[in-house]
Amino acid sequence: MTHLSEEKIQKYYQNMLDSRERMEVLEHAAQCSACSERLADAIPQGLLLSPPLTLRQNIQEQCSAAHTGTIRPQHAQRTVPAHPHKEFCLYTAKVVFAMGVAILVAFTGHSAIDHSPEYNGHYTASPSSGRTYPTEEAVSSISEGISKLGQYCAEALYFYKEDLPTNKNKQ
Amino acid sequence: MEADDRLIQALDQYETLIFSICYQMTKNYFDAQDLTQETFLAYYRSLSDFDGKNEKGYLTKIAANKCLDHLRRSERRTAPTEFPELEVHIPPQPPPEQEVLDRLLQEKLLLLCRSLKPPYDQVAEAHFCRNMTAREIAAQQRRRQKTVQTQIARAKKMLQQLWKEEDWL
Repeated sequence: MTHLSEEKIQKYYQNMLDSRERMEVLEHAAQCSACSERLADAIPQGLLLSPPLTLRQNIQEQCSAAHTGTIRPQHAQRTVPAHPHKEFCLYTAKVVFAMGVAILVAFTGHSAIDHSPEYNGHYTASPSSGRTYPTEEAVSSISEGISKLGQYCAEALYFYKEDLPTNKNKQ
Repeated sequence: MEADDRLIQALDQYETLIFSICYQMTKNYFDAQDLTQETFLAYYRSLSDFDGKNEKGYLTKIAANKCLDHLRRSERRTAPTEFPELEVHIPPQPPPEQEVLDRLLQEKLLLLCRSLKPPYDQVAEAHFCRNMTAREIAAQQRRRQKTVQTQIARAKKMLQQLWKEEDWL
């Protein structure tokens, strides 16, 4: 490994290196503790900048949060629930219930629709009450979206496939 | 020594140095703040593995790594040219008058803060130029602290972008 020369470090702080040379200095300092220390020692007094007062507070808050576990460490392992099958069933029940409520709400107003001229493919208005309701197509697309969301969430929570009820397991 | 005590000692000794080094590496005041924060956070997390020797070199090495990652991410975000040989070669720039760097920086910062649209201009000036915390600003302006914190974060992003767009040191 070729270390940084004094001349190069001086030129770095004098802005006399081009962008490629500056990257080379950075890349070497990122690998070599000795040269990074020399780079730090060589910074001219006039280039030392006062950091904002809030910076120190932010650093201490972040470190404190990292210490207490509020901020998740970078490479933390995601945890799998202790009873994934039970959790999956509970979650599916919640999703189905939400879908049912959405469909119920949609069709409660659907009967009041009199094929209003304001029909626009997604909503239609009742001429008697003036209230707008989603159409069947809109409700279907909402249901489809909720199903996809539930599937995505289940996958994201790392449920193991072998814990899911299958025809083989039932036999 | 407790990790928190070591962090405080490191901040006392090296905060200005690391911030200045990050600024020299990125030439962006706000990126330098973020990278300084990341440097000390990484240092704090690695304290159990650090032998305590050559702390200055260790911190500078972390800072160099953080700045390198940041610069590489920024390069990837810009569209590559079809003909690499025609890519702009950034020539060396003349150094600034060293003794006025701090003052020039603060002046530029003030101008940029005032160029933002309300209410971000007031919040940015109070936080970045006068070093007021979100709590203090919220108390002064009789607003929710959470609202002020969000506005500070947004103002910071705008200022970060403005700083990059301007031709600076």
